Amino acid sequence: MIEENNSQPVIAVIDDDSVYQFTASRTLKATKLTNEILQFPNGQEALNFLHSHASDPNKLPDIIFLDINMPITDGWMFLDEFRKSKGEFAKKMRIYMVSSSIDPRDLNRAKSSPEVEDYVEKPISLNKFSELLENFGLTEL
Amino acid sequence: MQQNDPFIKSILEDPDGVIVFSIDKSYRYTFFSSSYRRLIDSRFDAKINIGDNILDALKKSLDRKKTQDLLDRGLKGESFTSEAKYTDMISGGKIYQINYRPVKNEQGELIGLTAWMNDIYPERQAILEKTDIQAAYHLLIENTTDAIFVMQAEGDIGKIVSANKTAAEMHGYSYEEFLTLHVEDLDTKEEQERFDERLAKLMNGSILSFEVNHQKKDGTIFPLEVTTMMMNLDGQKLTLSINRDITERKEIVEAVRDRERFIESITNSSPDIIYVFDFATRRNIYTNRPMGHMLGFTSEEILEMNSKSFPSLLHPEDYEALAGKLDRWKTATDDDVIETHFRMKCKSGSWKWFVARDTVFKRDKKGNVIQTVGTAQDRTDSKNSEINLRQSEERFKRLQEASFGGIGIHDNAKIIDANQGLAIITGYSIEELIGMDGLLLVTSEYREHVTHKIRTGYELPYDVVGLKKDGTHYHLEIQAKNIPYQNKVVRVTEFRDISERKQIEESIREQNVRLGDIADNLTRKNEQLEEFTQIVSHNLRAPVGNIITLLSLYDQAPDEERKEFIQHLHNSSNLLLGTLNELNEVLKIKQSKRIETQRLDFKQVFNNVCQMLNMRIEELGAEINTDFEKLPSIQYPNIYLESILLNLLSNALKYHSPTRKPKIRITTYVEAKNSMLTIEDNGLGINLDKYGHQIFKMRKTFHEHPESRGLGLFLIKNQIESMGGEISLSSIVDKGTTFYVKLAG
Repeated sequence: MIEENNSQPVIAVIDDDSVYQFTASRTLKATKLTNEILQFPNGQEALNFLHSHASDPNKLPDIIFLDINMPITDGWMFLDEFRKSKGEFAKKMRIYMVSSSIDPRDLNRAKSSPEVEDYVEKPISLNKFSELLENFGLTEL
Repeated sequence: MQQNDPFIKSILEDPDGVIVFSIDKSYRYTFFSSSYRRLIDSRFDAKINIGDNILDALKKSLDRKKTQDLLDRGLKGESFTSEAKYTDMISGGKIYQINYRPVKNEQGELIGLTAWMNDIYPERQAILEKTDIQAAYHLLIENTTDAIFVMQAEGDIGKIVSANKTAAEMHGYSYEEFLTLHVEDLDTKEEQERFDERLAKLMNGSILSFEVNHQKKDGTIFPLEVTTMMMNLDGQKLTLSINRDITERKEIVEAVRDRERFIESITNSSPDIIYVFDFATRRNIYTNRPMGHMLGFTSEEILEMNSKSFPSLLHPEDYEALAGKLDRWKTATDDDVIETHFRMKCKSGSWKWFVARDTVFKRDKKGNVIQTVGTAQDRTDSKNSEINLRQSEERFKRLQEASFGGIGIHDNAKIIDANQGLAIITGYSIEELIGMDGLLLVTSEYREHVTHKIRTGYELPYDVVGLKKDGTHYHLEIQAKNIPYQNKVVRVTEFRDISERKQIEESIREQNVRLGDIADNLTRKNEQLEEFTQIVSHNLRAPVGNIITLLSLYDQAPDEERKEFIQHLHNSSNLLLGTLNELNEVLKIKQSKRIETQRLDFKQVFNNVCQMLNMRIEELGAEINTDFEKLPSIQYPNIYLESILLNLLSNALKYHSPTRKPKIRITTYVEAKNSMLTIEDNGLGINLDKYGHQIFKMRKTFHEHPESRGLGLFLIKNQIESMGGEISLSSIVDKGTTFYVKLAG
């Protein structure tokens, strides 16, 4: 059923907050711009997935929504690991840092990381998701 | 013959009259004047008479033969003139011209001769002398080193008409050239201007001597000494100049003058009186400045004072000292310096002190000292300053008595003087202090320090601990200075009791420590405030954001999902409430400035906590050991100790290993005066390399564990630190974790 719609981006949501996972996937689906959402409760599990499908562009996500505050492996740690093995992945992935933190230090750190596309504040509205996903389509053209 | 004619007689008998005689053919005198008779008498000691033979009269003459020949020539009729030299004691040398004349009778027969004798010596002498002087003059003029020349004094005035060779050589001309010159060629411009004036003087008949500068042919100018006079030659007015080149003499004179000037400038520049005293005249034959000037008298006043009144200016007490000096010269060697101190009265009436130092200048042939050279120095100031010094010492003594600080003067550590202030500070009397070793005024551990300062001449203040007579110690500031005093160096030391200042310093230091603590506390508070920002930012916003999103999606949600939405909303609200409660706990700790403490028994508090966790402990079958023997109780807030134990114990239970039965050990003890509590488990452990920096941060969990919320450690850390303690941990993954809590210092 997923393979049917190849033109739509694969989305990964990395967040330990199960309620957020629930609302995010509902909202993303409501945009009708994607149908494939990968959910990871922390950075470690996300990295595990990326490594095991590194050479498979169909399995790898196009866009990653990455939470900052997570147990085990938080957003920053994920970025560190991701940076090290970036070359191994068969696909270019776009990362958005996501947090309910309004701490300016987090914002600055996200902006100064080259792998991060942008910093998005929680909660993310339907319109915001649409905009980010549409953006992706445009750049692909 | 009319020999008796009185007129003829007067001619023939005059003693200075003519010298004449006549003889006949047989050599007999027929006539002679009395001058002739006296001449023969005096010359040949012969008394002659008429009729005597002339040859007999002249028998004593050495020239008798020659005279007879001359007489024979005359008797043969020849008229001629001859000369004869006579020298006698009375008349001196004489040269006679003798005119022989034959005498004939009326018949023309030769009967005899007459001879007239004229003394021609003066005439002849004049001729002789004239010849010699001319030759001598010529020699002299040509060989002299003086330039001699004659110039016209009328007509072409100054035209050189005659000169010697030296004159030409001296001026660098050839002799021929020189004779064509004019005096203007020789005189420099300045000399030419004086020419008329000099000429006028010469015309008056003066002989002039002056110095003049001439220029040579090559232009070089040289000094000459000229003697010039006017002379008349064949009615022509001329001037004769004798010129001596005095270049060398000038140079020597100049050199001597230089030397004199040099010595004069030395003696003049000397503030001392320099003099040469002559014993014969009892006066100074030289002095660079009269002593009278130094006494305030003018030169006129000094002249008025005769030498007698001068000694009256001498102080009566010093008269003997100076008088005795004259005796000392009798035995003095040339190397001896005789020093005398004496006072002289000034014009103003005050006294000046002088110190005279004399040494031998000249001795006579017998070796007696006849002149001495000496200097006299005005020493009034130094003599007075000696007196002043004595007075200022007195003043200083009074000053240091009045000083509040302690002052001691010491020489090689021995106190040679001290003031009352030092006595008060140290508790010794001044009498005790004088002669005492100054090092004994500081405690033994500072003596080496002080000795070093003395040895190095240290002059800045430094602090030591002083030692009083009664043995008490006090804070002492020392400042010392080396001061030259009576040909040695003494050290003047000021002692300041700075106990009070030290106390103030101490309290300032304490305050600084307190301020540091406050600053540390503020820094910590600031850090905590930042954590709060994060908590508010994340831990509160996250659930609120979720609730908002859930509610917005709820309307479109299908009915079967609504139950799920409600569940999520419920969890989110609980989380929000839980977080708010925990924050409240933390805020309570932060707000309470001083929480009440009480004596708590560890055993009892532990039992309370165990009851709270009883179900969990039993469920897991956990084994908990305690050891409160070393530190059974503590003064601490009850709720804090309960919270610490509850959180750490529940943490240990929560993160138990799934493969091992939980084993927990709680120990209290004292380490380095600190009350310690440790809780050791055998649970999952934490990777400290990865998470060490954020263990005690809020909302951090390090386990993928369902109950992990992570706020507990943050809470107890705040509680522990608010009581001045610390918390730390060590952990090995899959082996266990140990928390170390320093409860209080």
